[in-house]
Amino acid sequence: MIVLELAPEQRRAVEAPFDACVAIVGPSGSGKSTSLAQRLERCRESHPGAQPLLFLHNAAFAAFAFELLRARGRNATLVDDVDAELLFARACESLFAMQWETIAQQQLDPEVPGLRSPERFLSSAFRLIRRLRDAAIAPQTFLARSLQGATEFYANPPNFADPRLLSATKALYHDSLDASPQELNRQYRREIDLAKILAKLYETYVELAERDGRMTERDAVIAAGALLHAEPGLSSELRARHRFAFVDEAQDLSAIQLRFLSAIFGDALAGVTFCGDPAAEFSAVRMTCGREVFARAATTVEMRERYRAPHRELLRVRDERDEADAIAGRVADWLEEGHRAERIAVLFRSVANVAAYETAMLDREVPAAIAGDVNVFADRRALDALALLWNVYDPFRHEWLLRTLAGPAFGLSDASLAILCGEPPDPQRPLFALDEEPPPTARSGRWSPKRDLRLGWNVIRGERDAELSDDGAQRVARFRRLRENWLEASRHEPFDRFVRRVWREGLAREGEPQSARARGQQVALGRLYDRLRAFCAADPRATLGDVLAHAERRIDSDLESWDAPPLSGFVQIRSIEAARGHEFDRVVVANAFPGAFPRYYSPDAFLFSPRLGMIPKENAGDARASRTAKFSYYVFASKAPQHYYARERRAFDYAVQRARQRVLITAHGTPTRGTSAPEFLEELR
Amino acid sequence: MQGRLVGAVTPSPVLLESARVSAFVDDALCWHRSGAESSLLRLIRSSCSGVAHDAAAAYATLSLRTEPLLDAIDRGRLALAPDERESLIRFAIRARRVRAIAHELSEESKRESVLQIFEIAPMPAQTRAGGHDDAPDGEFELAEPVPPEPALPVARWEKHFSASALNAYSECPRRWFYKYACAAVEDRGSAASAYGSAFHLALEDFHGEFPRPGEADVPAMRRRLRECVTWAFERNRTGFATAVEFELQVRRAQRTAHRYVDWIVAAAKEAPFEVVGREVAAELDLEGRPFVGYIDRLDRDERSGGTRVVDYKTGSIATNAQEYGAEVRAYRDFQLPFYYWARTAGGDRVTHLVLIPLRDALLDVRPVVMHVGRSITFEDLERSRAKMIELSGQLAAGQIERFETTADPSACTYCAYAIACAQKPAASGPRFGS
Repeated sequence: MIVLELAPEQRRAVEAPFDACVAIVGPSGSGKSTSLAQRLERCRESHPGAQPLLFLHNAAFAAFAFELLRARGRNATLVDDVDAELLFARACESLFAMQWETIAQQQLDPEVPGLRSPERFLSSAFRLIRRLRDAAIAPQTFLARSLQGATEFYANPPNFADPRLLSATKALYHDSLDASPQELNRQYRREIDLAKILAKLYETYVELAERDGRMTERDAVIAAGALLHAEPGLSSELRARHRFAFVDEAQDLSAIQLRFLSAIFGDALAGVTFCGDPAAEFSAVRMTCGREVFARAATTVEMRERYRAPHRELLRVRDERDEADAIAGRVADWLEEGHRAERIAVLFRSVANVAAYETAMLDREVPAAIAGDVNVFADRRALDALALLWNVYDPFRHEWLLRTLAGPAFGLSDASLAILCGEPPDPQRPLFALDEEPPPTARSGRWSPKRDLRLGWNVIRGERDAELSDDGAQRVARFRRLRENWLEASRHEPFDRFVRRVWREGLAREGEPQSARARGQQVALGRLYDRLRAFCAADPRATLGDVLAHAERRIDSDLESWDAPPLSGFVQIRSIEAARGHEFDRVVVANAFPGAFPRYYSPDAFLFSPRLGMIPKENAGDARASRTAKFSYYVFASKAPQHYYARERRAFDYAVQRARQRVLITAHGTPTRGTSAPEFLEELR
Repeated sequence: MQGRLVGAVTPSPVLLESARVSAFVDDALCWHRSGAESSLLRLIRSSCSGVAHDAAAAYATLSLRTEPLLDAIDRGRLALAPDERESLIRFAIRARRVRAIAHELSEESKRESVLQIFEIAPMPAQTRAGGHDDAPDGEFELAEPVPPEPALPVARWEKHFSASALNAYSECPRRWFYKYACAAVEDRGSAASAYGSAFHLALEDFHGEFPRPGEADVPAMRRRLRECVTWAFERNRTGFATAVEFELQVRRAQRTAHRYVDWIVAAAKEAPFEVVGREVAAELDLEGRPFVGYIDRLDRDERSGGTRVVDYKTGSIATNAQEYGAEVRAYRDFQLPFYYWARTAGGDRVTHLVLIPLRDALLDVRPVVMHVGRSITFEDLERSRAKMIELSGQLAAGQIERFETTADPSACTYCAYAIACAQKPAASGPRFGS
């Protein structure tokens, strides 16, 4: 039996009793996942009638929650955070329009922190609400704790002149600590109003999500948890059916997931096995509670020994271009040595903007695919593809038309573009029936109706073809012909075929066939295509305009992401969050310098503490200091920066541990002294 | 002969795909119920509308910025071929009929009415045009790239120049190309720019009544500036996307205005001055090339008789004279040097160039003052002038074949032409986390 080949602590993990909550903890490469697999195997052998629940990755909780909701007849559709933020924007609409009765009756003053910039307020508030949801704090609880926390804090404020507080606060923000009782009272009132506003928005969002059944993974777990509470018999039924649960990467569990498990398996979590690494708790996008999870175990088996020790190498170069070149060169060497592309990873803290590194690899014929917090819609290749669809739908969206005409499929020169944007000399062809010229004394305004229409008009009506070079005129005529066909096709062809037709005829291939560039472009287009089709599938009556509006909204979202298993034949460029649970033979941990990995600490606009309630950063209204006193105090007292950088350090260690054989850690620029933020690479020297 | 737009006009009843018809009827009923312009714009863009696709798109674009769609159609704002014009008029009549459908009718009857009005024959459910079919999965077949069109010089710039245009060109030549040579994409601005416009307007009005702040009654000044701010923001209300943003930006401006009065009274006491110009047109000929601009304010120092050029700043600016001087020396800012040369050519003795930061309502107003000949040297101003001549010369020569993009990705952050610009530099990753 395989169990005999296990190390003693692994055996202990496998053989621990099933009727209690067991935690298997240890660092990467310590064999805990093998133990979990063996334990599951043993469970199946010894309890053949049970159907153990497997939560081997975080999304499995949501999948189970959705299954549960649908089985009980609940309307539930999975949406991502981008869609959820749009839902939250709906919740904010009446506030932004100042239509709340409490505002009209002057019971609430809208001059609260952040609201002067509604878009930013919306993002910050939604970020807070996501965290509150993760932490299982309902709107009413949030408001109650906020009111209580504010009352207690301002009734008995701390000593803002404490030398330790002053020395820990940046000189720039010392003025925030110089707050008179009147000023503190003013801040108290602003904070109370903010808490009331946020609580109401939070409540409205929850109502909208439940009414529409449009739920994120997080929302679904909460809704399923509520279902279990409402139907106690359901919990017993589930527990009788499944009896056991196996949870991998348990350090990433949120409070709501833990509560969900408790609702099925009871407070003792009997029958639940957790497996994970407390040192790998570093999620920046979710509120996790790894420590609490592992503390719930009746038996903990700790794996201490690491079975792998990859060779480590450090490299610091002058600038970003050198770093990108060095990484691309090293990866190319590894490929030449015979390593498989998908077994090589380049890891970043964030892959939101790593095009320079991808380009350096493509330049060396290294095929690479990005996963993590990358925006599929904002990729330059996706923009080229979207541009053509916009050209069909609306030729007066000139930014898209200029992109297409200057692109490699039509290749118009700057001179031709400028001509196409100009007024035709022939007065027989006016743009407007009544061309109203402004008086010569008028100062030119920001907007002109001619500008909004002229380029599109010239292109679709061929009004400036005569001024173009022969070559340029032919290119424009070709575009016009193609567009006419596309327009016709848009009326008769299914969306999939229409899109493929437009791209086939109007989107130029990058690089030679089968080159790294061409393959990378296929990946980018494939992702975009999947997203567009998914939108159409979710809304069968969507028009082309709806599809494009959807894409446009997503281009600007910083909540977009793409995660998928490593793509065969491609080197993996991944954020550390997207590298979770994956191992690679060769790893580069890139950008290991402050401001990239770790990123500098910049606290959210709205913090929340169960004890102190709301902690707004901005000091709104008739203030003298830009930050609130409570915020400066909280950042010091809670040691928030220290906790933040400790989390970043765990993320960095986790990145390094993704390597089985060899890891290269790179950075660029001159190292700092590491006082404001740690220099991870230098610490390893 | 008028040009013809793409897309067949379909005056007779046509059999249209069911999902599309259904969506069209939904939009029509939404228009019927709410009279919302957004529903009407969706209607006209539908192939069921009977309006040619591009004519519909043109009118939709136009009406978003001018007048309600039906009014624009009634006025025949766009010059179109007769049959296209007819289709638009027919659409407008039909849309009004939909709006006039009796509200008491049942939903089903209303749907039938819409179909009748638009002469659409209903058809049984079938696969929608926007749905999936058996389109092959897998690789995308793509077009072969074509060699770029042989480059020719972009036509010479024949209009006037401005300091802000040269600032744009200096920061990113491609941006200048999109903004000035093409001028095909509107820079819609932001709440910040609306705030700036409104505040400038308020101060322009205010100083019309209070040219000598040292002698004026302070409470009266405060009262008047408050009124000017209120009025100026009302005039710029459309620049703010939401009511709450407008309300809070007005409050911010009122607080800043309060501090502005504090400052101007103190400044006038220290060195009495008179506001001799507001929104003053600045014109300058540099080697035959005309430059124009508008100076926010001109002050005459009552003791020395010297002229101070004052520029209000509601965005991020240099925090001191040294920083601004560095911008000038790096040819990243031509504005104050241009004003200096324009006023000097007009016979003024310009002694100070002043930036007044009005961004932060929390802070007292502390102007950045450049004393000409000291904190900004004559050599700096001369070199800036020479650079203006050089850059405007390049643009006026008509020899530039390709306007390159900047290498600095931070210049692209708020660029209105970022979508058009396929060659923009790759941005850096996020530097902050929480």
